[in-house]
Amino acid sequence: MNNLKKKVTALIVCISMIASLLGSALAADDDKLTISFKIGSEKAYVNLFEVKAEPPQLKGNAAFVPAKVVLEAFGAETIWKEHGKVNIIYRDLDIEFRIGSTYYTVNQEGKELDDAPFISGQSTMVPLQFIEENFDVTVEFDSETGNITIVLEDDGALTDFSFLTNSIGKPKAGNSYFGWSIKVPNGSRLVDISFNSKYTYILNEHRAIGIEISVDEGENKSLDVIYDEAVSNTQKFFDGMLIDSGLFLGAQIPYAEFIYLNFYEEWVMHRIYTNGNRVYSVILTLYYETDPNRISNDKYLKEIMNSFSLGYDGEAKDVQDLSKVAYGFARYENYVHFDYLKKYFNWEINVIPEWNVLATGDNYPLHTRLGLNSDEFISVYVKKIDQFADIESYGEDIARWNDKYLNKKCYSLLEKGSTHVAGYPAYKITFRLTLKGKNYIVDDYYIHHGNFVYNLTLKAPEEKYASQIETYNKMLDTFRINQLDEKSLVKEVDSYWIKYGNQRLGKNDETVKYQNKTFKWSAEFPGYWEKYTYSDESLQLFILPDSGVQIGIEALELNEYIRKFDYTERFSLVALLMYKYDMKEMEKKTIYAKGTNITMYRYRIDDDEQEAFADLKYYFIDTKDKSYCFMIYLPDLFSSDAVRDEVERIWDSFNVS
Amino acid sequence: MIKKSIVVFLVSIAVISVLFSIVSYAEERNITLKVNGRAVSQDVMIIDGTPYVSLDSLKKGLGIEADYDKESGVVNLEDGVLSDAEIIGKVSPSVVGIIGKLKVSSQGYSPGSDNIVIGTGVIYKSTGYIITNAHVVKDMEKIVVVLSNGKAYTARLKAIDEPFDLAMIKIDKGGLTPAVFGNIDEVAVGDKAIAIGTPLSFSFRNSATKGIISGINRSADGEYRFIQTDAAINSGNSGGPLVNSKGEVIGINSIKYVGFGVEGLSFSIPIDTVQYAIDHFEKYGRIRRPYLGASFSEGVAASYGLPVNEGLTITEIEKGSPAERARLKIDDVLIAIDGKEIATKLDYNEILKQYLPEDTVNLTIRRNETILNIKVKFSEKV
Repeated sequence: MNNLKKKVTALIVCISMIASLLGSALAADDDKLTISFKIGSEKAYVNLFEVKAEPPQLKGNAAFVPAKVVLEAFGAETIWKEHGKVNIIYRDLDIEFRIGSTYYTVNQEGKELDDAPFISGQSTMVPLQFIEENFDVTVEFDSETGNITIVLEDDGALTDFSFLTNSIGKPKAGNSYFGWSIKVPNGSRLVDISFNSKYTYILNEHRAIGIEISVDEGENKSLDVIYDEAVSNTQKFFDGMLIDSGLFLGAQIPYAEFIYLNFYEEWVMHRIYTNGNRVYSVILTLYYETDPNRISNDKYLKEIMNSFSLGYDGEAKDVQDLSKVAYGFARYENYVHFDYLKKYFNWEINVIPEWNVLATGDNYPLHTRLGLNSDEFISVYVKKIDQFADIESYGEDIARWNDKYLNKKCYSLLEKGSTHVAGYPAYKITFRLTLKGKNYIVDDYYIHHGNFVYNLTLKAPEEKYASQIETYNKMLDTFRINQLDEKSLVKEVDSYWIKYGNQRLGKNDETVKYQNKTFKWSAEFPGYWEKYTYSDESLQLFILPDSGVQIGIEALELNEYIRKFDYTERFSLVALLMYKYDMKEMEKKTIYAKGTNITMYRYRIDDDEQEAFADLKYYFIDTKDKSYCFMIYLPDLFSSDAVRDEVERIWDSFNVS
Repeated sequence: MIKKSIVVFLVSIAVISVLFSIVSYAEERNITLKVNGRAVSQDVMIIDGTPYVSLDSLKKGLGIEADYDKESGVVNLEDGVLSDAEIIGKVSPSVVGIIGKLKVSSQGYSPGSDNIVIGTGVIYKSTGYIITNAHVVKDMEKIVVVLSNGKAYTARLKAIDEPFDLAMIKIDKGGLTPAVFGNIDEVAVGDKAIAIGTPLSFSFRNSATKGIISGINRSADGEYRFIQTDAAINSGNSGGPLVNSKGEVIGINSIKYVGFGVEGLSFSIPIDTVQYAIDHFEKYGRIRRPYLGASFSEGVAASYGLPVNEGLTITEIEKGSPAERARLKIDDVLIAIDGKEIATKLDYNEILKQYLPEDTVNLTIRRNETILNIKVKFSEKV
């Protein structure tokens, strides 16, 4: 009877063991991690595998487990430091605790335990509370049996890879700052987005559809004006062949629509919407489409285009927000490479999202301008310096130069001195610029960093400066210069200037005589004037560095054919400038100087768009066999008395033989 | 009486025959077991004209596992030879695919393109430590590791060294299968080599190519020693393991050096360099290379690989360096470090692995026909 009972019990135990094994085998997911301990037992189980462990202990009501077993099972990174400090890095957590201390930190924030970790044998023992409160686990502790179970359900395996593929995971894409949203075909990804998210390019490769959305600050033009402009200048607007167009003012959101074949002969539907000062362009491009009717007739494409709406504020759940605006600013990172071999990330700054990267006109890779237009911007110009004493002397030198060369009618110094900007010691020069009747305030900061001086400039119309100075300063304060491979950048900057820089005329600042032997003329320049590198013997340009002041000397062989041309057609110095700028003729006269008759033409340039406000003077001299043109280009800003004198002296020294 | 004598007779015959057989054993005791020409043991018996060899000598001679299980009455032999599929199956759980997007600030980043980089890595600790090539991970914004079971985890870059082209990354996952590292001394030219990785497209994860060890003591770039193999290595399986016939990792493949040398041959970072790198990464978070501050040129014969030791000639000495402090001069010829001969820059770099910055060594220098012994303390190469 006893025997039978024993056998039955044994059988029942066997069955239940098998059942539990089966059960746990079925439940055991690759994800789930189960760690089992028992108070006082050396045997621990990690997902049924037996491991040797320092026996867990009970202190009062608190159960302690060996940290190493748990952390290794989790796969956490554990750094056992000196003085009993332990650092654990696990996914987003950075935990630091100390043996014997109930205080510990998680991501630098302080927390408290009821009981402190301690050492037992060679093992660090931590209270279950530590495991439970910091890791995403379920902890069970049966004080009667002494069994402890720690279950980690989610091991952090990734399921969403959109950060890698940039795929749009929702039915719509939108921009909460600029307020638009549009339906996108499933399986699309974000291919390109500007730093301020004003330009977005979404591509669906499988369906060969591209959707580009651009936001621009208009000049408050109405939709029909924009439509008329586009239709009358299609080449400039669309760079393609316009097939159809329409103005839909009665639509839910009024728009202008253009259907055209672009430069690559791809079918495009382009819609323009306006909202206050903003102009939205939505461009749908079909790649590889041979059916010319599809762009207009396809219902699905119409659905996409008609889904464009203005009014997305970030709330709708079915829209993926592509905005890059955070706390009212967009972050601009300045990457530069001179020769596409090495890339430098030399600085960054936050700017208001409406600002774009503006062309700077000098093509110097280390000159960047961010703003809306040339009236209002922040720019950074990075200059390599060879000798440097301190930023104060550097700044004072610049102030002195400004005082000598800048026209007091255009430039008035408001303030100068040492200060700080964005945490960097700097020299600041603030001045008022008056051009074409408009007043601007300029804050010029000079910051020294390594082998370079960073010239951080803020320019704004005077009224705006007063009202917006807080916003401007907020932007300037976010300017950060990054640690670079300075040695390499210095080399590249030096080669750049050797290739593209101008040649200084004199070794020192003394006047030097420059002779053009081919065309037999000479002139004397102060040594610090530079000759523009890309000149040939017949046309040479000389510039006063860091100003826009130029003297050009052109010479031609005079023959019967050339004599037929008027001076304005004869010389490139005139023809090219006439093509570039709107020049107003001011004066034409003949003077007697240098022992001969000299024709003088004077012009005025007032080009708002190209920021050129200057006086232009040409002297024309004809000898027996040669014809000469001596040009003086004097921007208003640099036409101080000192500059005028200097330029006159150079003209006086000009001789032809 | 006759019965007794018959019994005696029979017994004596039995005894004699036993004796005979013993004597016959004694005669055959001079049999030597040789395996592939190599004498292994004398444990050979002839029974009824058939030679029998002991289990122990088989074990020793063939390098196999052998045991006799008395209870089940089974003699078990295991030759440990794995088929190619078994080799790959053994290592695969330790091979991971690595994928990530290029940082905007990186050289290769180009707006409009997908900017995705893929490579391979090897798990060397069960708590989630992975070794791969430096060039695979160095520009990745977020590193994603995909295990052979298809599950993906984000990884942290813990240490990186571009001269070795090795990097250590960590995923927070325990219970992984670490790879078994082999012994570089056992690698021989002609041995089978299998490269495992993620060639070209992430959907080809854990693909394998096979070849042989084409050369050891090769250098791709003249800096360190590499294993050369004709197993195809490309940008996808770069960072992955080169394994031997036992499924042990003997090298980490690197696409970086393809193109140096003969076409069709690739280079693998040898396992001793990998182990050295892992040791330094774990102890110091980087490789601590001892720095002398001298530039060398090899002897002309050395560049051809001719077997003569012309030493390394010092061509430049950096200001403020240990070489300058030790008063080494240009045109000094470095012949040996702590008695270890140096013929090539490779020898120099490999020997330097045995030292740390701040170690002091004895340099054997030949200066104008005189041999000098100069003590130098290394500083650290930044």
